[in-house]
Amino acid sequence: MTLIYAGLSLGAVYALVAVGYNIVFIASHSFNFAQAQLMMVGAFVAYLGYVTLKLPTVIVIIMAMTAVMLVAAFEERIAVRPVADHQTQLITTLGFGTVLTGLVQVIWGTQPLQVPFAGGDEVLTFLGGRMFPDELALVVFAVALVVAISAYTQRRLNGLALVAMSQDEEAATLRGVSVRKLTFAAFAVTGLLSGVMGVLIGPKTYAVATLGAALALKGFVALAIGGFGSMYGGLIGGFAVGLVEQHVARYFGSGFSNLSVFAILLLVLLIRPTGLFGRVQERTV
Amino acid sequence: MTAPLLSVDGLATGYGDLRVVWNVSFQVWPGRITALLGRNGSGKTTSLRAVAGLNPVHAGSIDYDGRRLDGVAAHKRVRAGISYVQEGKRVFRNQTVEENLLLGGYSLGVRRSTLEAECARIYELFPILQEKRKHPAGSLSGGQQQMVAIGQALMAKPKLLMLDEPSGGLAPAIVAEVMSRIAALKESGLAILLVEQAVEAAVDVADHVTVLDVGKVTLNLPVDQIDDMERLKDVCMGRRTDAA
Repeated sequence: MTLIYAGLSLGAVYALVAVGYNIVFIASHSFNFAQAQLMMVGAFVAYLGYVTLKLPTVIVIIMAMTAVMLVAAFEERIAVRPVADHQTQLITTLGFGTVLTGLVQVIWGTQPLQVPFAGGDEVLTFLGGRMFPDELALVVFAVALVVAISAYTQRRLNGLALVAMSQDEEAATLRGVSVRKLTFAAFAVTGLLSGVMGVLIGPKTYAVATLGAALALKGFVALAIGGFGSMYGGLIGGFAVGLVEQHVARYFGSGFSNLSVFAILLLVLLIRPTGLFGRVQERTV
Repeated sequence: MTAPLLSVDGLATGYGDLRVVWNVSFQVWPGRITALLGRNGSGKTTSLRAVAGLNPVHAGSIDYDGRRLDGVAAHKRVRAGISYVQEGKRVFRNQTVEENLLLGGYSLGVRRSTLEAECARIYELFPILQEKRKHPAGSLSGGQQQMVAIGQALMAKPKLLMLDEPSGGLAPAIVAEVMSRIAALKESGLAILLVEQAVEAAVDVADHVTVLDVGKVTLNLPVDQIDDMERLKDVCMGRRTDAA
């Protein structure tokens, strides 16, 4: 059980990255390749708040949310809005992520910094397995976030508009949707959530400058397995990657864990090219 | 005759620097249907897109409800009461009929529950949509999708409804049905601008006809002054340039 819990909590981290990719993907059919770096910034801000400034948890979370939201909003203005086509945005967002990694290294250095968890570090025993409180929080947060976002896109008008926009921007404009405003809002909200994610993943992954690159890849694999644009797909994909990685590392050695993740990805793409929950884009004539 | 709701005067527009429409003028009145006719490539759709704010105005003016529309963003024109049903049944295919209709009312800025009540109005007009309201719009037949598209436009409570080829790709029996629904809509005082290739079907319901060719107006007159349909068709096909 302990192994499963470890897999699930690691998977939750990947799922959170996938959720971040997904929000922007749904809004603009483009990938924000700086997503993992945004979470990394969140983790560093959490370190700054907790360890350097010794602030209470609520303040730290608000600080991380605000800081990362501003970074994401800035990204939208300089790396997304001026670039008209989606393919080029892949490059500009990747570039923005690289800049973030560099800045973080300049400010905090290259050593991993330990971020404390507000819920303590007493090991919990649950159904015959052991788990840290921060791991439990990660899993709960990932599931709750996915449920909340899915409900939002189905129930709220702005959520419906977001989905509509991803299908046909021009038609959405003609229904009175301000495409520009909504895309900006999607980025800002992603930043806000990434701030919270950063605070939550920090205790598990540490705040380290290489975090962005590591998470970006696994998060993308989680999304590809689950299916682009599908919130539940991203969650399942994340858990799958986490579980496979932990089990392979335990039974075959950690050298095989990355390999196994890509083997799973290839297998899924071979059988279902759109991912487990992806929708086939139908063409109309 | 009352003052026109929409008055387009000497419009020149196109796509970016490419000019498609050179000099087009037409009017649409409340409670009346203006049909914009002409062969392929004559600039009908481009003119509608300019009114909707999707294409830039190079020259001329678009007056709507007593004000110039220059520089007003497309999504704000929807809020001002201009609803545009694009060619080719452009509904949100992955979303349900009901979600499509709700999105139609997005510009009103009211609560979802209020919009859900508004949907009843559309279901009354197109009863089949109520049956299909939980189906993805993309799974409906062509005629039904056209009803979703029109219903969506009506959800915004427009003053001006612009329809681009509502008959396109539909079976003749369904064209007649769609046209009769359109004719019924003007009774409520809605101003309708209808772009059509099906000349006879359009003239049957229209009050006023404007014919375009190569980006210019070649004919502009009320329907009751048309006495020779064959001649009108010739003008629409570009076979004759003199007025009917």
